[in-house]
Amino acid sequence: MTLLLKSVASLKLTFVGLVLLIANAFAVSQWPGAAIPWLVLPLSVLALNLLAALLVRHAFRQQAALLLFHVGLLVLLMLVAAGVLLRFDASVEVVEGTAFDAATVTPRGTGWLHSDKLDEVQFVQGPLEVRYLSGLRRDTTHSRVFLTRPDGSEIERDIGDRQGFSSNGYRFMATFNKGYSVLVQWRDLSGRETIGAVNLPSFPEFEWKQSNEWITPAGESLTLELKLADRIPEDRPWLLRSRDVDYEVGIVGSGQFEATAGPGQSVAVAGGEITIVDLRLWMGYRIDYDPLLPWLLTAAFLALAALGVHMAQKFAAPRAADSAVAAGGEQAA
Amino acid sequence: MSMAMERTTLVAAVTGFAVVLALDVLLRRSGKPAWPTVSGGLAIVMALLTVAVAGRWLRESQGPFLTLYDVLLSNLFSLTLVYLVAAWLVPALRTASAIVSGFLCVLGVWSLTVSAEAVPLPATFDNPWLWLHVTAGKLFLGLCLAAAATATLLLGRRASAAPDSGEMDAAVWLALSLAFVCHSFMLIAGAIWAHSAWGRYWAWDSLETWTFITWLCIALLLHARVTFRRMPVAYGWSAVVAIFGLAILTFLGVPFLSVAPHKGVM
Ligand code: HEM
Repeated sequence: MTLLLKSVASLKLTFVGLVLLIANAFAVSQWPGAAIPWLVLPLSVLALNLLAALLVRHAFRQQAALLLFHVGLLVLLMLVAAGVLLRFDASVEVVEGTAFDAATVTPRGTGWLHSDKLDEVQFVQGPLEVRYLSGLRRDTTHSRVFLTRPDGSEIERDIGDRQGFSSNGYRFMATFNKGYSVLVQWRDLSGRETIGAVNLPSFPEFEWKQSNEWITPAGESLTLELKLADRIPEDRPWLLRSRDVDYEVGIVGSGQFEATAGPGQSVAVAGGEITIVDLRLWMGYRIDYDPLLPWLLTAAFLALAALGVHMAQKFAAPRAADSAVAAGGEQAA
Repeated sequence: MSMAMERTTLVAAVTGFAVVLALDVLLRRSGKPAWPTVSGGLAIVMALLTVAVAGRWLRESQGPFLTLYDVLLSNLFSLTLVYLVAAWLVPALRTASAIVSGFLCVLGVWSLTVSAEAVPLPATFDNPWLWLHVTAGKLFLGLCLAAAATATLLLGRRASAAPDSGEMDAAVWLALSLAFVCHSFMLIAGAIWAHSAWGRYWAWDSLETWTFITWLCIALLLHARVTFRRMPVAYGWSAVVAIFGLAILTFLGVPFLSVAPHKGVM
């Protein structure tokens, strides 16, 4: 048993494990998608190797800081692995004046052990403003949100490029992805009314393609195209917001149907009538859930501090450290 | 400070590196102590670079973090400063001053050939962790340069059968070990910045991946020294030089070849 432990603790195995990890990281740089899952292999080898080494190697017993650094590495690895299993990563677009709806979230990665509590998150998207410098360079983002806390109280937050908000452990970060949304009212032939928002592609990135398809409750496919009266000024600062925008909406349906409607105007289409209610903005959020992050940070700083102390000790007293290393080489324990 | 003044100052600094290099070689050839002249010369060049960096910073109201020119200019400043301080504290590193000046001169000439036009920093760059990340990165590269230059000199001496210097060898490993600590901090500070800027602490973008590879290569080398005790010393020195090459490629190549989010998005 001890013999097995000693061979697993071999520094040569560490060397091989590190070479494999470097090769794997190189593969990640070439084929990220395919190579990332393979990282588990060298990392598992190194984790086992390190675990065994921590148990049997003299070098670690004689150098507490080196021990702490390596324990830190192992803990980091375990926290990252647990984080991958628990994490949730998604994006969502929320329209000004509307409430966040967990059903509209597009997941990007869900850990096997993640238990979804996203539908407990409650907030309403407030006004949104994005400042641009001349030359259409994005400056600051201000996205106001009204967040309902678990105790029912409400708080208002100003979300920007550096300032997200958390709810139920989910962190919401404003992204550079944002655009216009046309609020439409649908009235069917029996007079029943429903309201909906048609989000247009990211703006100003896709300024040239501000249209999207909308299937009416009557099953008719319409293409809504936003026609802005003013072009974005490139030679001076500019503010992206939904207030005071001069616009019309082009509506194209089947059988050569074409119409244009301004705010408050209605157009009769197959199966009912569509009214342009308002122009809003939608904000793209990145949602991230990683409950172990504070621990990860603590472990990283502890490992770093230990590494610093180890190096300081080693070079402050080179002779003493060298003899300790000699005792901990391949003939350890 | 106008752009023309900044360029003139930079030209003067690059010429300064060339002059320091020439004096260094001449003094060493004639057997005279080179360090007082070399360190004095490098200090003057550093002062010129400080003026260029500060002038640009004040004019553009933003730090030199984004474009290739920004990175070259700030690295000329930081590499000179870190080397001067390191060589002041560890005298064995002074022997390689000519290699350091030569390298900085080449970097300086390169900086004169790239566009100096400033690009506004994305809002995500307004974060204290970015500062720490960049500072740690510059310390890492400076220490790595000191280690690699000394290792190169040792390799040269080996080739010409001159006696090895134990002190220089120790200085190489000291500088590389401290560089490893700085690199580790750079990774952590970068992850914190990335988390607050883009909502993720790690994303395997090409810059992150190559930085991680550099970090692992240093760990591998430090381990190799413990694992293969009878490894010829020249292997270790060659590996130190290779790691510096990798670091330079990562710092000055990868960010400008990829469209990594490190550049910021509209
Ligand atoms: C995975 C299994 C690992 C084992 C079994 C292991 C084992 C050891 C041992 C026994 C030493 C003692 C050397 C000395 O006293 O100088 C050492 C040193 C060290 N290890 Fe590891 N290690 C492992 C992984 C890692 C990893 C993944 C890293 C970092 C990326 C790392 C970084 C270091 C550093 C920086 C030193 C100090 C070297 C020096 O003082 O020059 N180790 N390791």
